[in-house]
Amino acid sequence: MTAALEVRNLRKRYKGFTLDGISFTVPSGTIMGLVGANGAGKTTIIKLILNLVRRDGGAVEVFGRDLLASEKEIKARIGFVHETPAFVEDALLKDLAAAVAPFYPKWDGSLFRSLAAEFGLPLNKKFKTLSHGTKMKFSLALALAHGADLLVLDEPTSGLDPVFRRELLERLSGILQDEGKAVLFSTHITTDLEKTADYITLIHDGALVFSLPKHDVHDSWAVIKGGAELLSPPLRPLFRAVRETPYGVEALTSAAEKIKAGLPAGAVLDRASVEDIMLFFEEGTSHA
Amino acid sequence: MLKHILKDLRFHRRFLLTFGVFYPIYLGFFGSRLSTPTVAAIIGAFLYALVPIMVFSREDKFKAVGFSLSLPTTRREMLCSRYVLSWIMMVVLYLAGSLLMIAMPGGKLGPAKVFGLQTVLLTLAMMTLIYAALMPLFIRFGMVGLMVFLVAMQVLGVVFMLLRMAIGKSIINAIRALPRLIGSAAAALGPAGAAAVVIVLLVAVNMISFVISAHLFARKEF
Repeated sequence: MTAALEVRNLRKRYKGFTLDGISFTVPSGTIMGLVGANGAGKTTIIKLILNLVRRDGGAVEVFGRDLLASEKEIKARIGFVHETPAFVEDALLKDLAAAVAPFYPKWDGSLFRSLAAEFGLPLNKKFKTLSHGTKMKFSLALALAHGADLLVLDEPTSGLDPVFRRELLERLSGILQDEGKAVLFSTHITTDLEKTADYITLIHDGALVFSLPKHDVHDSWAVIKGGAELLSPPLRPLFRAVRETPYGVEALTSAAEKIKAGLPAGAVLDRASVEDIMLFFEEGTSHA
Repeated sequence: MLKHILKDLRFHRRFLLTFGVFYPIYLGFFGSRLSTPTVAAIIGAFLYALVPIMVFSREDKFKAVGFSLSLPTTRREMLCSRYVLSWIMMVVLYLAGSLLMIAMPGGKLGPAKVFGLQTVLLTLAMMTLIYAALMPLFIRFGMVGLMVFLVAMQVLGVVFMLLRMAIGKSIINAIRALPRLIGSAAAALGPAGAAAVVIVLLVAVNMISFVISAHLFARKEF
């Protein structure tokens, strides 16, 4: 399977925050969910992929081409949705679309009009009059109307009502019927990932926790609940994060199969959801 | 580049129409009351050079530059188109203002004065100097850059006044000697030669401004 997007050892340093050597690959024909708490570094990664901020190190390749060497050609194949869609506020939607269209060789005007009708976009209204959800839909319509091979969506479902959110996720899955296409979308709504993502990349505090196929996450990550004996030496090194509650100890592991055999009596092992993993990394008292 | 220019014209159509009508009428009326075109040329150049900066500042204000840079383009291409569009705007506004200056009822300036070689070159030179200084400041600091420029101009005026008080009229004489010096150089070159030299210098100033802006824009983060 060829890589639609390959991020290697990406680094970016801000005052008080460092994105530290992030690497992951989005294969063609797949949806990659980029997940992490607010401030984890998801938007920074997406901005680096689009060269909106300068990287301090690492490389980004899209369809096998270096981003900086072929920026224009690569961006013609990317559809981008920002978490806070921002356009010139007093321009009409139809003018914004008309201004954007000539940049894309594969712009499909009739597709844009049909998406606008489907999303209920008021093309004769000014951008500033729209709700956040409608702004997001407009941004999505622009991203989808030029037949992008890679969709890069930053929190695309935030501010959307549940019905449209489901429609959008179905649409993203539908896009992948063309195997040459791929989607990278960041979110902190983990249920979106459970529904659609093929791969999941978890970022915590600027560092990569994992980047795995979704089924591998479900196979290898687990939450173990039990008493204080869980903190004894044979098990403790296998935990990635530990949380002590009034009722005992909860621990997160990425070695579910290995731990299963040596589990003390009374301890329970549950498969971890992406949300469980995220919460442990945010709230867990210690990380291995 | 044309795609960027058309995009900006679409994005800022209403704003441009407002200033495109107001500024030339204002300058046309103001200039028509004067008997020499020099003051109108200097003030006009200043106002016209501000228009492109105000247009591009709207994109900053709406935080829309990030989206523009996500389009299939490069920063250099986007900046280049901004310089070209700026000059198109400034020249169109200048022509419209100058024509209105002549056409305004009761106007004291005829076409020969308004479009005299010296006046045209003075206006172009002033526009170039102001725009070439403003654009890198705007790229680096946004609207704050524009404010810095305006404050710097005020401070320069105060410094000049203080110098005049401290040194006396010699500074005025030194400054007045400059046009005379340019005038004698121009006389030696002839009108066509002088115009050619001025235009080459103005192009060079614009190019230096572009190189500085491109360097700053490449480092900017959105």
